[in-house]
Amino acid sequence: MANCVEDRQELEWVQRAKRGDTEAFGFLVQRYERRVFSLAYHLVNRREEVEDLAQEIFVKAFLGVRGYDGRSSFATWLSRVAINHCYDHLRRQRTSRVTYFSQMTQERQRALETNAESPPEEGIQVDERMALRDLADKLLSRAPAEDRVILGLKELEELSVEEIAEMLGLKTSTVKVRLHRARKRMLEDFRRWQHGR
Amino acid sequence: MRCEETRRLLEDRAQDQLEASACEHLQNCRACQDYARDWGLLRTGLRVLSQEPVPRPSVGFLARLTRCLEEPTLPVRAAAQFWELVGRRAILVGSLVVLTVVMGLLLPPSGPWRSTAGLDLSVLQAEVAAENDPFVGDDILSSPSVTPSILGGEDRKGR
Repeated sequence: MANCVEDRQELEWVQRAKRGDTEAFGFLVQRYERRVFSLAYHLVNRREEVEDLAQEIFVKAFLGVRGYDGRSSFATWLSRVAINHCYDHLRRQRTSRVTYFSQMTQERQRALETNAESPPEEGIQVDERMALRDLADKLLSRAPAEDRVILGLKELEELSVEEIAEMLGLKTSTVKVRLHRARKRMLEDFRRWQHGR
Repeated sequence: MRCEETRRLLEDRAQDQLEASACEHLQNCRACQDYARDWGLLRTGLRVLSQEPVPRPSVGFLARLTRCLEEPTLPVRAAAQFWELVGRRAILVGSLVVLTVVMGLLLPPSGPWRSTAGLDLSVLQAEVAAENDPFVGDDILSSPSVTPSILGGEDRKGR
């Protein structure tokens, strides 16, 4: 019942926003700002850029809200706008493939080296976990924008394959294939790093 | 079970949740064991990343956004962005067309970039004229000064 009321309320805000009502759009922003911030952070992973990105996403959504036809939920539509914006941002801002290992501390390097040679998961220390976190972060930032988006949605946002498929407008089988390829490429990059040590 | 299938399963499940056939493959395949180990390491790193707190909107975010949305220049800015994107492509296509036309005008009528059709026609006419001319013998076609340039074919074969 509460959901139904919320939905009706949201629909009304969307209709008003379509007529250019910024106050109504403000209510939508309040409802979804966490979601947009989370997506922007997990897809781009630069804390200092998240707020600017979120603002750009909401501006884009406001300008394009007339095109929202209600076939998917507003949340899904807004997420799609956010993902597309982050994807464009990543493609523009793609960092060069610099060596990242040098940016880590000595302890983290050592922890990482030990980790790469021992079985994972069991008994991983905080230091080792942080070293792996740094490594995953760097590998993600080196990944192509397409891989970065799909891995961010699955591994960081922890969305299901079905949810990702709906947001990206793809079939679940396509998402599975892309996800597997992205993971494989990330692992290859990880191994290149191991061999290049 | 094949490596690819086992690896797909490994990506989504913990090793102890694998089907019997996948477990059996994993025990006998060194490459898949490496894959499982590396993916396990990366997944641990990704999990740590996913648990980090997401930045929250700073104070006044909504007010700043609303001000931005109410700016009279907003539609103009959107249009400018659109034209910037379209404009760049239009300039690129335009440049290519101009370049093609300029090359078409500047390039010589024959040579490596053009066919020798025009030259061949004049040669053919010369040959026909020579055949019909009772005062010119057959040797005109075998003359070393004429043959290579006239019958470009032989010349090309020679190269």
